[in-house]
This record gives sequence, structure tokens and C-alpha cells, in this order.
Amino acid sequence: MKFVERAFGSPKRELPKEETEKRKNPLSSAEEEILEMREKASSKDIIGGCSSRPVFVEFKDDGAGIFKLSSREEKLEHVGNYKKERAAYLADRFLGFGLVPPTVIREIDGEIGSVQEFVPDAKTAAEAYLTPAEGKEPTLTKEQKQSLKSELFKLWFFDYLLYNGDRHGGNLLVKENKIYAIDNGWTFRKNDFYWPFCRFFDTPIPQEVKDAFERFYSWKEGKEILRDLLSELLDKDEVDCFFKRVEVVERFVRQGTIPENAQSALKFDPGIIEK
Amino acid sequence: MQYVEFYKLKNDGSQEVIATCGMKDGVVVCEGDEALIENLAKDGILDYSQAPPQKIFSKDGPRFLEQLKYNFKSGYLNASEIKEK
Repeated sequence: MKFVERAFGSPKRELPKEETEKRKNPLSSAEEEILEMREKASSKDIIGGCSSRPVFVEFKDDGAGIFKLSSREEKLEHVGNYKKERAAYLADRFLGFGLVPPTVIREIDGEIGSVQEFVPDAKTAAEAYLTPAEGKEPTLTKEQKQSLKSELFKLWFFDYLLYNGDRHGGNLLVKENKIYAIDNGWTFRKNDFYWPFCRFFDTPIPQEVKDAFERFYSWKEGKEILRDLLSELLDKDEVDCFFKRVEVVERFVRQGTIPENAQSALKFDPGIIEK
Repeated sequence: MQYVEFYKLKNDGSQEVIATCGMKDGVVVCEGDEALIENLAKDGILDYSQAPPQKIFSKDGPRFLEQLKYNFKSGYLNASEIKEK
């Protein structure tokens, strides 16, 4: 049975293409449509940053994005990273965390890649004073710190689920106490390593995170649709590992914390994980 | 002298140099955007030539310079290849 039918029942009529697409991803947004459909107005190569060399693209009638080209994924371990950019966005969207800027896959000037909505006036965490240096006074107010801590927890939880091997100050953005997770090409890893920006083991999981996760976890159809969408972008093993992690994390969410020794709980080969 | 530049992406898609890190008398010295320099000193960067990656700091010299471009590659803040002057 096709997943559209599985999720919504057998259609009684042939759906128009746009409607089928909408049902295929019930959470697709207007921002995604802009990134997917609008014509390019201009583009500039972004210099620096090893081989991937993304492109800044402006679209006609407003909007801009960071375009990562498949053809510039030169190193073997980077091949397919542009698909993971989209996969991370989809996972975030279904989890309801709002961390990853809208990201699509499209063709521009004959090149396939991911286009992620540009976040204007943002700083990378590497340019922001999130934690004071030794001997320095904190520059954030108590409210700002609390708001950022909540955002950082969400980011850690998200990276934990996606087993992200590459989260540091250069690939998360800060703007008005909100965090944006960018550069998600090293997510959906299987059994090698996980590298978060910060760690919240043994810290009570905030209610907002619990609620979002539980909503996702109990949404059977949503999980099936996400599995199908991810399967179009990732290897079967990578998708299986993600959903195994969802199961593991659900137990921790019920307990209220993720214990320190749980780091290894996510490091597995789907072939040998305990069923 | 070997050095690396940091390019900050602006809203119009242009980039500006906001900091540099260069070798001076065998050690890496960074100058420019204050928060970036402090965070580099405090948090270090990841050395992706190791699996799993390891934290390295400016005291690690040329290895630190070489790895900057792998850490800063999102587009918003990119590090250059090592340059000579």
C-alpha cells in the first residue's frame, strides 16, 4: 500500500498533483514553496569554508537562501550531505522544535542541491557570548539566559535524536535569543560518533520539549509519513537508526531525564540493536 | 607568514573579513571580532582529521590554522584556506 493511502485511507478519487504532494507532507510550508518555486534573481559564491563552497541565492519577489551544491561534495564522507540538510529540516518540522530554517532540494542553474532559507542579521554562536569566558562577567540577563538555555536544550535533544557528529559554534545561529540549527550535513549517523554543542545529561527535560516529543511520538501517521519522506533522502539503515533512537529516547522522556550513561544507547548498528 | 581570514556573510550576500588568525613566532595569534576570538580561545575547534574529532586550540599551531576551514563552512561565517603574506 502506498504511504499516502496508509496515512489517510484509500483515496476515492484521483487527487490533483498539488493535493497529493500536500498530503504526502502535511507539514509542508509556504516558506518551502518559496524556496522551491521562486526564480533566482541573483547568486554569489561564498568564499572560504573548505570544499563545499555554498552559494548565496536571492529569489525574485523576495527571499534568499544558502544553496549547497551536490557537485561540490568532493570528499567521500560529504557525499549526500545536501540531502541530510533537507532530512534534518523534515525531522525538526515533524518534531515541532522549529530549529532548522526551511530547507528544500531543488535545481538552480542546472545544479542540484539543498537550499536553506537565509536568516538575516544572525550571528553564529562562535560570534556570540553564550557563556562568559573565564574571568568575564556574563553579558546576558537572567531572562535571556533562561530563554537561551531552553533553546540549547532543545538543540541538544534534537542533535541527540539525529546523532549529529558536527554541532559546534560555527553551525548554529543566534538571533534574539532564538537558536537556528544550520549545517546539518553530518546528521543521521549510525554508529560512529556524536558531537553536541552542549550537554544536558541528568537535567530535567523541559515540559516544552517533552510535549513536542510526545506529540510526535503518539502521532502514528506522522511517523509513517516522516519515515517515507526520510527514505527518499537517506539509506534505509540511517532511517532505521533514527527511528530506533526515537524509541530509546521515548523511554528517557518518560523517566524525565537522559542519563549520562545513555550516550552509548544511541550508538548502534541497526542490525545488532536489541529489538 | 601563514594566516587564515574569517568571512562574515552580510544580508546582501557580500562578505567581510571580521577576524584573522596567523602564526607569529610559532604560535597562533587571532585578531578582530572580540567575541569570536574569545570563543576560539575558550572553546577551541574540532580537528576532523581525527575520528572521533578532537578539540584543538591555538597552542596546536599550524594544525589549528589548517582545521579552521572545516569548522567554519556554513556560509554565514567561513574561514579561508591558509594564506601566505
